[in-house]
Amino acid sequence: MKKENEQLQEEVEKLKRSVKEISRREATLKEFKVLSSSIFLLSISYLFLNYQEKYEILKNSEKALQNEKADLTDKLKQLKADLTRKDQAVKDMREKIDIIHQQGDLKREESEELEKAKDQLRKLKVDLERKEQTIKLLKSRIETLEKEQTKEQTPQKAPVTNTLELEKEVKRHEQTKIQLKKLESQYQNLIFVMRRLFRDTVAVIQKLKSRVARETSMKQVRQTIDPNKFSDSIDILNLSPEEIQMFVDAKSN
Amino acid sequence: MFVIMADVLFYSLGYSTVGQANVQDTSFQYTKLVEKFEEELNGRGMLNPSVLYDMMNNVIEERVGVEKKIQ
Repeated sequence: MKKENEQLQEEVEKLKRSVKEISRREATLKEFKVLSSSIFLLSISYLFLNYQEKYEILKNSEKALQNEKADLTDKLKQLKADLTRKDQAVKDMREKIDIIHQQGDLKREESEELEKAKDQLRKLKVDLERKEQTIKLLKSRIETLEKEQTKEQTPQKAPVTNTLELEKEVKRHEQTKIQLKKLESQYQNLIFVMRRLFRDTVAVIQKLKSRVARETSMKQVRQTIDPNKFSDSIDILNLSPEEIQMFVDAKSN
Repeated sequence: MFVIMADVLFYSLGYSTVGQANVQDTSFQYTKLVEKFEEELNGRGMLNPSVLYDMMNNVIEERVGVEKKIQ
């Protein structure tokens, strides 16, 4: 029991010691709590101070930012207006480009249409020429057919054609008569001209020959008859032999 | 004076008679030629152009020859 008492006492002692320890620990905990709360307060106050400064700074920066924001909003508005204006301009330009493109397309279409029309015209020309040739061929064929037909029909209409042919023949005969008369008159004129030409040339030859003969005979006479024999008489009359000839044979001159 | 005139007449008649004889010959020849040409022109048949041409050509050549002689 004693032992148990001792043990118990020891345990009580242990417990006392532990209680003391616990109380000490509690006191230190309390101190720690106070310290921690003070530290917390201090830190908070420090933070607060920091935050205030920061708040001021932030406020200032906010103001600056607000100003900047206002500027930016103004700029943005201006930019928006400019953008809308430029958009409008771009739209206008696009419309113009579209119009130009459309015009270009129209022109291209027109040129294409023109080319097509030209091709068509060429084709039509070729077709026309071909058709003209066929028409010519058909015409010639029709003519041949008509000729054949008339040939076939001639025995039936013989009297009528005969009279027509006779009339034509009469006309032709009259024309040939007129031509014949003309030719006859021309022929007579030509004969007259030839006759006149021949006679005139013959007359000229005769004249020239008589002149030549006279000259030669004069020479002969001069050679045969001595002119000195009659010189005295000629000198008295004061005439040359040619003048005497003129006097004697006036007709021939 | 009478003697002088007679002499002159004799002299002049001397060369007129010689010349006239030649002229008469040629005139007869040419009248024949003209008659032949007339026959050719007024013949019953067709005209013969070669004969007419020859005649005309001969006459023209003769004329040219005579003219040359005179010149």
